Amino acid sequence: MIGTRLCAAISLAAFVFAAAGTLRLAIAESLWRTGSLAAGGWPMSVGNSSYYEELAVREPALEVSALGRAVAANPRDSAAWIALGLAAERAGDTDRARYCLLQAEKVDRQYLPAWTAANFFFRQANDTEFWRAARQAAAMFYDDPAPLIDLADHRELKAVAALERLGDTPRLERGYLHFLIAEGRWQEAQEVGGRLALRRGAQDRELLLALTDRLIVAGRAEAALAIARARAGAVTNGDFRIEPSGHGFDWRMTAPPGGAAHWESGRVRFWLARSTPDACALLDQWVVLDPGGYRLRFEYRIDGLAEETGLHWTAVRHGIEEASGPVLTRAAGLAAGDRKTDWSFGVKKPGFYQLRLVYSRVPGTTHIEGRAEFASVELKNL
Amino acid sequence: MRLNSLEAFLAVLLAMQLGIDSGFAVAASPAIGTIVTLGAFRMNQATLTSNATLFAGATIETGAAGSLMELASGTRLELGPESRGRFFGDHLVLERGQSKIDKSLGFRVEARGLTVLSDTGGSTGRIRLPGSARVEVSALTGSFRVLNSRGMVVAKIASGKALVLEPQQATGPTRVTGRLVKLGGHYLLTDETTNITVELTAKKSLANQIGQRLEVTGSSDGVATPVSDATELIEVAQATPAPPPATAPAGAGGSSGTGGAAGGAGGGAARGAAVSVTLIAVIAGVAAAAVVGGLAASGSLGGSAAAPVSR
Repeated sequence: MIGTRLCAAISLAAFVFAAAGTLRLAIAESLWRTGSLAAGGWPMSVGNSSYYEELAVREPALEVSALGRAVAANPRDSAAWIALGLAAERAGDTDRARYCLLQAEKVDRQYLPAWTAANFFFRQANDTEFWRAARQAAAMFYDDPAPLIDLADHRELKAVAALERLGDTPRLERGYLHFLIAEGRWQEAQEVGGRLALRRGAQDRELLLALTDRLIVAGRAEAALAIARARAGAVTNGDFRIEPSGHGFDWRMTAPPGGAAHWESGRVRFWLARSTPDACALLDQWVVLDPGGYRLRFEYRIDGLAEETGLHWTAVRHGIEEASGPVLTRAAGLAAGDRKTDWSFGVKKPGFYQLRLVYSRVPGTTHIEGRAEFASVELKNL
Repeated sequence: MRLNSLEAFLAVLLAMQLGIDSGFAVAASPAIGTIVTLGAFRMNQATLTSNATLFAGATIETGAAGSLMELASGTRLELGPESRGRFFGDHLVLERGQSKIDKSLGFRVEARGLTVLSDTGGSTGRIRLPGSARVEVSALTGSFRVLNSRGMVVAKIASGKALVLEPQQATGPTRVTGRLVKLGGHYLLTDETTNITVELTAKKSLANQIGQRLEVTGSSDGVATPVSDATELIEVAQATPAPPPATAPAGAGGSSGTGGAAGGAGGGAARGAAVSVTLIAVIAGVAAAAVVGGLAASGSLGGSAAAPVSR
């Protein structure tokens, strides 16, 4: 009997407690929605730090006190610690800001507290704490690392040194390389790119090709060659063993308007149509040349074009044609005797040249549909 | 003597070295403040959340939530939702959306060829970019000046007032409305919309119109220097008694016979705020229209980060 009554009493007490809790939350929610929480609803929301954080947003005058209550209500709320730390910094209370941001890092070992602390210590010019927090953040970044790298780059002017202080990882190296390319800092981009190139990671190929492209545009021949592991005075992928990437020192294939371009291992083919314009570029590659004589050797085969095909090689520097080879004839191609064709030319200035295969209809010839195939291109210094 | 020469040489070398080093240091843009937001924002194309250090030249783009910038100079700025601006230590180039500036003495906001400056340290104002060519300036506290691309003051906005301005493609006639006064032998008129005082010259004497409220159109004499109180000297083409101030719904500006430029500004204010069609001015190539009801009509900077809370 006593046991039954005791059980009923406990159940009733539990019911009353639960009902009171629900009612309390409902009233707090209602006060919050009507905006009167600031006036009198605080006690109703004890234990829920997010109410105080929202209050801090809605009532700037109560910001610091509300955030203080938020961290008291939930000392593990890193967002509240961060907000309080930033508010303290704005108020000029750097000691409190430091304490709050360190607390945020302590209770939450994710990216945002570390990032916020790194920024705070950056602004306070506290190098030791900055690099500690920045390194912590660098180990956890989940999106674009550029802002963190930008921050580190303002503290350490040498990219490689900054990378090492952040905790050198391939992911960070990639981020730093993007950053340096965007900044046009080619020397450092070369250094960081060189480190990535050493790893020979397949996922870095595109990035290194992009770097090579930018170095070529910037006219930095040695750096571009080093990153691309290419040689001066030579063509890359001359045997067309791999599909031309269209980047760096590799071939760029251009389908002639109205026609087509096609690669298969060992050769490239171009189809010229009746609608193909009288002049167009088909294939080109950046090469680095020193002054002197060169010989370009290649194999080609022609089907269907005029005897004087209009196809010829040129060497172009800064957009100006420096040397132009003879027009290739159908008879001299592979079909006529399976031999290589030579074109010898000379350049006077060192630097980047575009070795370009162009089509230019020979005056007096009729434009006929046809196919041209090229293979085994070699360049030698004479 | 020889030692002195060596010392001097070493000093020069050291100075050169320092010069090079500091050159590198200067090359990096300096930190100018902090940025805090309730949600995500973009800084120089990178997406960030919560907060960051603001560097000179940084482009900030906000999303659904606005951002709060606290500059080392003491200036406080809010960049509204869906806004974009480029920040520097002493100015903001507002490219899209709206911004609110506080404690803004010495800080300027550039937008669409206009420059907005506060007159006092405690001034708080809001700059909004409605449409594709207009700039709306609201003085919440303190007063602001607006300069055109040549640095000429085209509007003075008193506390509680708001103006919509639109730089004109071609320099058309100047149009001002106000009471004509004569001071020290010069005819002066302070425009009621822009609060700008101009000096008037006319082939026909203006003496019999002194004290009258006039609507004046004319051309600016860019060579002659106006009297010290005035910003511009206007050669009057037409001066007629101004109709009493009256307001009309937005969009009526174009039919008020005020010409394309002024009509354009009137239409500009049509987005969310009514303008007084009788209060349209064109000064130094900038059309201006008062926002009826001032700040009440111009609205508030909704959705901005009033306080920083990290998420």
